[in-house]
Amino acid sequence: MKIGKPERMIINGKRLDGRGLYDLRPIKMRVGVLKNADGSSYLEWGGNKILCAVHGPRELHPKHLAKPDKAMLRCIYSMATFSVKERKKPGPDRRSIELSKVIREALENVIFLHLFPQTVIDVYIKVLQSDGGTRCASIVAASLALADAGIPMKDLVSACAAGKVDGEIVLDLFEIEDNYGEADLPVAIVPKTGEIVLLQMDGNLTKDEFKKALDLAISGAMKVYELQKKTLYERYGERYETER
Amino acid sequence: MERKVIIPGEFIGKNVKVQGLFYRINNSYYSSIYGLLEENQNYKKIIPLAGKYIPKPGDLIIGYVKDIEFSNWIFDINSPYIGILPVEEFLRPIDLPKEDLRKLLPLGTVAYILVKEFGRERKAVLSLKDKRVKILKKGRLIEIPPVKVPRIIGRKSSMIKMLKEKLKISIIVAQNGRIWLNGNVDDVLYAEKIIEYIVKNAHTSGLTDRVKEIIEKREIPK
Repeated sequence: MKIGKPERMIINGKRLDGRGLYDLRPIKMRVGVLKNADGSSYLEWGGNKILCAVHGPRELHPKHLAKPDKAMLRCIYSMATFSVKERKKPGPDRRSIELSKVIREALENVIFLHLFPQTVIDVYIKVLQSDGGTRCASIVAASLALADAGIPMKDLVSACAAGKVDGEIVLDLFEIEDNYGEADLPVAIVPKTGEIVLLQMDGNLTKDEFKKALDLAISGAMKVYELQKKTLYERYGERYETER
Repeated sequence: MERKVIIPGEFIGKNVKVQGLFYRINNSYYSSIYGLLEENQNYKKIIPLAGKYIPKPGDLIIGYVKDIEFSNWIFDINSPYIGILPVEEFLRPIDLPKEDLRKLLPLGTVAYILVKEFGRERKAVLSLKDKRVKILKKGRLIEIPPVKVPRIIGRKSSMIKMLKEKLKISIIVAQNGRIWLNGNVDDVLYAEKIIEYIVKNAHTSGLTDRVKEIIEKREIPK
């Protein structure tokens, strides 16, 4: 059952979930959650719940796909049947194929693929619960899982969306704002260099609005980056500090 | 010795000597993996916390025969790349095609074997022509992450020597993360638990002494 369009989505400067215009949803991250994967992560971003597993580098089958000078990166984004209100038909569809592609292209920018010729690195992203902005959340989870798998990277990738709701530019849209808002602008960046590795837009924005939304999304992504760093440090850091 | 956690892209220093997986922009060095940074007097060392085994000539590894071709054995070596043992590298000259390779080293044979070459073709050429190699017939084979192998061996082999001495079993630790244990069944199963404990606590210091204490009391580590 879909919730109908609310009359107003911003009331007295507050959004429907009580956030201010430039606030992120609460984020929780964990790495190393799966035993059988080489690297894994679990991310809760507002109502989004995402599990990500990385395998590899490993032998590539079929062999003819192998590249002689670098590793191949395969990303598979999929949503669980129970991840949305109405049952999601399992299997790849137009949307998840597109998301797999954009996530792969974002991650390809930071991974040193040339170190493992003729192999494959598999990234499996499973959305357990969706609440808008899963592509950004997936990229964040995937880059944590890749780090956990010990894969050499230039930097982590961080992402966040901005958009336009009720004529206002807001940060980190959730499902209702995503469905009924005027525009959505997911952005993924390499925080160290400031490179943009994913930029998509749904809806219409004027030039000034676009600039404002882009800056806002980048600032959001930088906040997410700090959380990513904290997660990675704390996994070994705390225990390491106490036992030394 | 100072050790701290580093993440991909973290700045290590300018004009320093760095060991391990790093990248350089002008004279600044950055880590390219999630691991530990060890600060030594003259250099800094990046110790990985995860990762796959990449063959290196001179390594001694444990592999098993997974396929047999006309003049090669194909070995699984716990790596993204396969190992090839050509007939020329067998213990004695083989008269092909009269002899059957399947009878010399049947499928599933486990061997402690030398990596002779690892070139651009990305196939590890293995060899049995070395004094240290062994065909392993009896015992227990376990796998650990290859990056933890130095921890099982310890500084100047301190850990492995201690394990062998205290547990009274034979242990072979191969570079590709496979460990072969042979001896009394109870001791072998206990050793497996000890190794599990070492892997779990590999990033902590003072491990050898702690493990020694545990073994002396014959405790089951948590």
